[in-house]
Amino acid sequence: MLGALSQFHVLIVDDSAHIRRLVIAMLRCYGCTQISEARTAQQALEILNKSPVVDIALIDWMLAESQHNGTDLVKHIRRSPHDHLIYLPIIMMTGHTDRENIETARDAGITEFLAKPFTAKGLHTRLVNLIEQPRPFVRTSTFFGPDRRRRNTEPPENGERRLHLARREKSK
Amino acid sequence: MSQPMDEQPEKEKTEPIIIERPNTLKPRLAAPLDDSIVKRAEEAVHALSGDFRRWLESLITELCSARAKLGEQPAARPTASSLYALSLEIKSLGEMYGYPLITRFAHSLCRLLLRLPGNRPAPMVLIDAHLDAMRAAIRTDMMDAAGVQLATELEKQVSQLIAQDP
Repeated sequence: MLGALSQFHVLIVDDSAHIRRLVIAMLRCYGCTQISEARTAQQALEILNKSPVVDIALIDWMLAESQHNGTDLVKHIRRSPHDHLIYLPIIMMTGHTDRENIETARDAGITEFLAKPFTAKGLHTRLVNLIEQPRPFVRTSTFFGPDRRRRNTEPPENGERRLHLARREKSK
Repeated sequence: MSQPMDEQPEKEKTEPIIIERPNTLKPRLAAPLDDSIVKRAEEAVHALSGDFRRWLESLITELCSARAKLGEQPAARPTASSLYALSLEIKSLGEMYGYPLITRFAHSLCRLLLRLPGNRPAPMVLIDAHLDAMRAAIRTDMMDAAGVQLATELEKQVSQLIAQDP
């Protein structure tokens, strides 16, 4: 029997081999077999820019041997010209759990935040959120990324829908 | 990388828009992503637990080596130092590996290295007290009331230092 995530390609970007090993153990139990690993932002971009397309990325805040941290990588992904990258669901894993850091990660364009230390349940919850209740994206003059305010709206059946906020407010 | 990561995005003159896209992930689930698989994942993590102590011990040894290299001079930029990076990793792994007290010691050390106002250097004696606590905790599987008391005391000292005017 195929596991739930058997059709997904997941990228883990973390300079800690221990963390990567734990996350891989968890993902395998969720049925994921296509797992790529990167220690640096550069390695991550190389994987993201080739096939097979990455479906979900788990990115740590601090990365090895690089002047770029995880939030820099997220910003870079969100500015990509490719749809499969700019809309990529991203879970940021980090021990930096101060409010200021959470806001920085949110402003970079993460989809979900997973504070370290985390549990199998914590990772599962974030994956369920990404897959079953994906957030719409929002574009403003200064931000592009997932809209982190949850709404009770049904996703469109097909195609892509763009709503002007002003228009939405008028229609209330 | 074709574009520098720190380059600012081009300002747009459009009003904010919300982009709702079809859910392309959910139809590809091969089985329900329900709670039953969480237990399997917890068991898989538990199966690795035989290695946890050794892994954590090696990280604490690395942390002590990083500290020894500093001598009596604190790192100029704590966030970039190996001392901070290792403390953060130990903080993350301690609890996941079943050593919650080590996570407390490491979290307290992270605050000490990062949060002192006015870029004041962290007192080496207090850094060393955290390292000693971690070493003792991994060596003796410290989980008892004395360990909790030690963690509380270290956290209190760090908080007092953070609260002082620069």
